[in-house]
Amino acid sequence: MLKYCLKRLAFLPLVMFGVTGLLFCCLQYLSPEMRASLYVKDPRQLAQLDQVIEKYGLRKPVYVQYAIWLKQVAHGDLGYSETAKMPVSEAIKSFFPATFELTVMTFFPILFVGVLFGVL
Amino acid sequence: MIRILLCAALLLGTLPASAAAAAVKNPDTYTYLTISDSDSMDPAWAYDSSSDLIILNVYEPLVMFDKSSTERLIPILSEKVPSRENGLISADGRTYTFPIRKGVKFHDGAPMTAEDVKYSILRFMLMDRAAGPSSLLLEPLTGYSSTRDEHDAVRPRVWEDVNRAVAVQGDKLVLRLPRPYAPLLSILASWAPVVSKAWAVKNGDWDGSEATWKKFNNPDKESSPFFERADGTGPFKLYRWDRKTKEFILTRNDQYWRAPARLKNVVIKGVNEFGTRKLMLEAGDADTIYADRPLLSQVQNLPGVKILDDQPTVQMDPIIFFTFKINTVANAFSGSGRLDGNGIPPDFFADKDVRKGFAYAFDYKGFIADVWRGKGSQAHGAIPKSLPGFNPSQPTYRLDLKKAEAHFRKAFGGKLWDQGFHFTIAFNSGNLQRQTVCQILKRNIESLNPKFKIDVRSIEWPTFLDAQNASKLPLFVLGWNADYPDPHNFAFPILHSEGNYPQIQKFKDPEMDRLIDEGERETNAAKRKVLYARLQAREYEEVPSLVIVDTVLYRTQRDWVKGWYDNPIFPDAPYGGYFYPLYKE
Repeated sequence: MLKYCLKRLAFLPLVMFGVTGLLFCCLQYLSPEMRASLYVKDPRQLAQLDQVIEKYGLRKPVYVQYAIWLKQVAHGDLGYSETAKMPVSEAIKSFFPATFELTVMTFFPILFVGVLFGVL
Repeated sequence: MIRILLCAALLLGTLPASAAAAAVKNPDTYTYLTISDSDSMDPAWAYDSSSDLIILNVYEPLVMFDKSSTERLIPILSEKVPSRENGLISADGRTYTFPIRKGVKFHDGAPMTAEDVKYSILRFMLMDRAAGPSSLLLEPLTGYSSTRDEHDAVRPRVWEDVNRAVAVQGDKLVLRLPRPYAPLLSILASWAPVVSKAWAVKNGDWDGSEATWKKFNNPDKESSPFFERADGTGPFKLYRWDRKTKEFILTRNDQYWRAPARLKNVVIKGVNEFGTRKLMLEAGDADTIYADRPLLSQVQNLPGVKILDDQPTVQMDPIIFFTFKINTVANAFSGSGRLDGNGIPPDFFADKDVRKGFAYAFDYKGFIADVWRGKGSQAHGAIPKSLPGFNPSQPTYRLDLKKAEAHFRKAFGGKLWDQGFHFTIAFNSGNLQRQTVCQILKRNIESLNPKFKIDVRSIEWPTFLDAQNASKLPLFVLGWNADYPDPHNFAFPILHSEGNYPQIQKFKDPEMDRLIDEGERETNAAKRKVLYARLQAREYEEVPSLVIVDTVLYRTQRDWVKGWYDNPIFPDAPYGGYFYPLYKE
């Protein structure tokens, strides 16, 4: 049992690598201008759109952008969330308790209903 | 007799006891409910009205506008407002001397000196974060708008240039400009307020030296201590910014160099739901809320709530921009890309008759009556009514479908009328004003000729930005909000070939450029007025874009709020603004 759990846990970094890589590739379907629009909300900033793209490396090849992000994460810097208006690590910390609670509360009904339908 | 007295007594007893009923709730604390999120409390970083609102009340600039004026200045951290008359502006208009006020302390108790002022201005310019406000001072003080060139490399002479421009002489700050720049004081009244150099250094920010400034150029937003904390000289201190509950708490600065504010606390809270804002206002838990024109009827007759309407603005919104050279490659908005009735060619709007046709096809008065409920007035040009340079005698376009038809018949040598056209106008979703503009254009223009077809589409901001930047939008509707209350701040971005919008429109008129460049340098107010009048006459003739309305806004506040005055340049005016003069009773 323990070996099984450990084996699954060992797969975790691979899964995360795959998922994040896939997400990065999907995001590339949005042009650099579209991705830069997260930071440019006011018409007064329109003239500097290119500067924003330069700053966040949005025109760099996707593997370069991914490598930069990986390096940041390796240093513990998960970046800044424009929607939460706080660093990502802080956002995770602050929203985690509620997420955990919701997950735990829904786990048992899901398990129950899932098994029920599986057994049918 | 007794009966009369009894009746009188009864009557008096039933009169609404308005004085007693509306006891001031939280008399020491003023609460403002807004909808926007703030970006950063750093005065060198922030370029949004939510952040600038806090900065206005926590930090102070060298000079500020006198109450509601957008022309008269009063000295704040400078002891005098420099002028030619008092000799603090040199005869050639290139040197400004500011004697720095003595006895002013930062919130942490340290004294404010000319060194802090120099540091603040240099930091404002040298941070130069992408899409930030640094160009507002870089332009007048160095002649270029960014510390970095097109390849994102730092220019070689930046340090020398900024130090030549900003110097401390004893207890005075001296600014030396490469050439005269009329709007300079106006810019200094709204930007680069004074921060504490010592506090900055103590908390890990730039130490003011040449050796390290590049490390702080174009930084990450949250890396600066000024991001969420403040040490200024203003009438309020930033007590806390809680990003989770979207709340700012300001507390009174009792060591303020003028009489301390009457309010002890100011709370600014983000509440996106209008219903909630309204309930809180009614209950007295909020003193002012953000509410725009369509919601007026819902706040108009609330007990204890006052509406202050007809507040002037320094904005020009919406503006209809024509793209002179449309990128028709793989462009769904321009259809076939040819003048064949199924699309429009790249130079569609380069033909003046087409632009004039559109100009006469828009219902300006109807738009103001519908969307603004008749409030506000038709704009006379790119310069808003509240600024000098506005020319009330400048003729404007009006809805005239006959004239519109005449121009369309002339366009492209008559080919336009025969072939017709079909293209798409896009507006960024969620903006009712801009949507209405598009629909009015569609309706009126399609009514002229069955071969004229316009589709109106709502697109998300990222898509809008992307298409607009690639010059794919044949016609787009946006607006402009003032950085500082000077006609140059409207003329340049809207009409100068190197300005914000003409660059996207691919529009260039050398005569307009010349007039705007002259207006920027001309420090004589009367001569400037003439230049801007000529500019707007040319704007009317060339019609590169259509301005529509000089907007007025209304403010909703509890009637126990006193002392409020508006200045259209205050961030978030007339909802936010300056809290210093406010009190509740």
